[in-house]
Amino acid sequence: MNEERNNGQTLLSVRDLHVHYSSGGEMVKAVNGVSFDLEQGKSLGLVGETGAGKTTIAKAILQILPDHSTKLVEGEISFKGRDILKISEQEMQAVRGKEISMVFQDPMTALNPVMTVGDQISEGIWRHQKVSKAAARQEAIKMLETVGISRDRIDEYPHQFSGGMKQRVVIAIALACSPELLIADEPTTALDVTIQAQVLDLIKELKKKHGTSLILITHDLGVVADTCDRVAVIYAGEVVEIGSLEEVFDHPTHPYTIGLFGAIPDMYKDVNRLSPIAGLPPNPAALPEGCYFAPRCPHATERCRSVHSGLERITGTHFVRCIKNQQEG
Amino acid sequence: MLNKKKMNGSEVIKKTEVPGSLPYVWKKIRKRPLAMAGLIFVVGLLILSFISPWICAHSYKAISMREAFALPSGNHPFGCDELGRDILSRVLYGAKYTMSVGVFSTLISCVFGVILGAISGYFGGKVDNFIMRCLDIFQAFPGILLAIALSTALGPGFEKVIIAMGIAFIPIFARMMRAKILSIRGAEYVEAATAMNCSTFRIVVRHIIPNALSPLIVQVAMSIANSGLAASSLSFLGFGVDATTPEWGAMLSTGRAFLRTYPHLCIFPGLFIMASVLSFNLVGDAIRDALDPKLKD
Repeated sequence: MNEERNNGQTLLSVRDLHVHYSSGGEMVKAVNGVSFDLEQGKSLGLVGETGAGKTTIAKAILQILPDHSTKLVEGEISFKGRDILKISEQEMQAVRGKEISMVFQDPMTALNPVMTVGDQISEGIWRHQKVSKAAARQEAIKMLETVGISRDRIDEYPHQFSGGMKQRVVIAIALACSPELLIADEPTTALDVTIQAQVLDLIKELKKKHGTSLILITHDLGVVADTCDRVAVIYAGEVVEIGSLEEVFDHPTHPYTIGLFGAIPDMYKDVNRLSPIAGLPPNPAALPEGCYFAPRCPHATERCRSVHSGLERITGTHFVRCIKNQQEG
Repeated sequence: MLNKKKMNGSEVIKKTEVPGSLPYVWKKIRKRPLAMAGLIFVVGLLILSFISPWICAHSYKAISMREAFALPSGNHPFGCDELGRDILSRVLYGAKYTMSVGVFSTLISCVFGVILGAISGYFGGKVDNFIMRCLDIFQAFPGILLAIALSTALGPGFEKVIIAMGIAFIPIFARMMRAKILSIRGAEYVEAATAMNCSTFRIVVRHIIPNALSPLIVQVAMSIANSGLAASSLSFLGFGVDATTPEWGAMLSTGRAFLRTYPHLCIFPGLFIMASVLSFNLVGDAIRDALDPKLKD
């Protein structure tokens, strides 16, 4: 219902985001000019290999990058029309956890082992909504029931829950203040397949109910297909292909995206070996000069190795970063 | 989907079954006779020490030269010292000195150590370097030597001993806390708390320190024993409390001159020092085992 009403309004718009770390004297370019938009009530999947910079993008949005090693955060992240990279830390505090919240990857470590789940859920409510502790607790009980956990478990500690239930608690914490944007960083990676399905269903259901927008970070294309409206494929800290679910899944265009789909075994073919993309992602401290994917690309030419391509529109909302497509269209 | 029956079918778990909780630790300790004996000894001795002026037949400071060096007898169960003072009354009365030095100096080193260690571990960088190098200077001296230097500088007196011992043991707590906090600081739940917009103070006090408590509790129990012992050593060496105080170490020190002829002057205070240090160590051991999730019955 909410989804319909809010359709078309841009909630979050990231423009040319750069994040550099320093590590052991080297400059690590983790995110290099990422841009994307997210409409209210919609969901965007960020797909990419380990180390592609997906989590860094999420942390940059929330501004919880580690102080000591982060050297540069540039670009524009506009949330509801405000550039949140420019606002003060105090203003950001009102956004963090209340308007944008995050579900972390591993529920085993994302919960504090010496606090009851009730305290952990009500902590956010109590901090943001200026209500009494008792009222926050009531709210926490409601949240716990929303994610399908019985109210009499509120005073239990995280170790008394199973993995899937812990992730439910983490989701309850993230949704406790009914944020407008939920960032889920590989919410199902640490869970086994049956629990994965339950957690994804839960996220989808809650998203529908509250009209929350979602950024889902994953390396599982199946999860994206199940949950997202739009997909952005991230490689070496930049978007190499972005488009609606149909556009990207039906017409994968960038050689990297094609490679990703190729790496998924076909259910109907009898294959003995998976076909991975050859080579490794580039070292973010020493990125190649031209296209970042050129060293692994089966179609790379001399020009690919010297010219760094921009994102170009192919059709509708489908953009690809590859000079091959520029030449053709 | 949201109403899976299995998920709601939880049974209530008793407090004593939650590892790490106080009732659980208490239950574990109760199962260890040695630890219980230690606990009873320490608590009993403290109570006796405070009520000793009313229950002992002789005052701890009453001098009676006729009874000097009296051997243990029905009237004086532990005998008398070189001035004819009743050793039993002195040992009991003195218990509170040795133990309160242990407890209060540990309190000082624990509080300052935890604060310094937490700041050092959480903020890292230059702050960490500065604090740790200062503590390195302290640690360059053996603990007892540092305590001697400090108590010489502060002068004699009961409180001075506590302060000297307290300062001397700060680095142990600070280092332990720092190491523990370094490992917790990177935990995802700390990051999650940041993402929930908790203040730095709240993150440290509510999320990090409680997770670092179990080694701290053990360190406290061990440290009470150690600094009690060190305090006795100080008085034995003639620093620390003044000679008239019936502190156990001081009693040993005076008794030493008559060790060959009247050993009972040293035997009783010595036995009590040993027994109370042993008791604290036994209790500390039991708490450590109770808090260690890998050691299941």
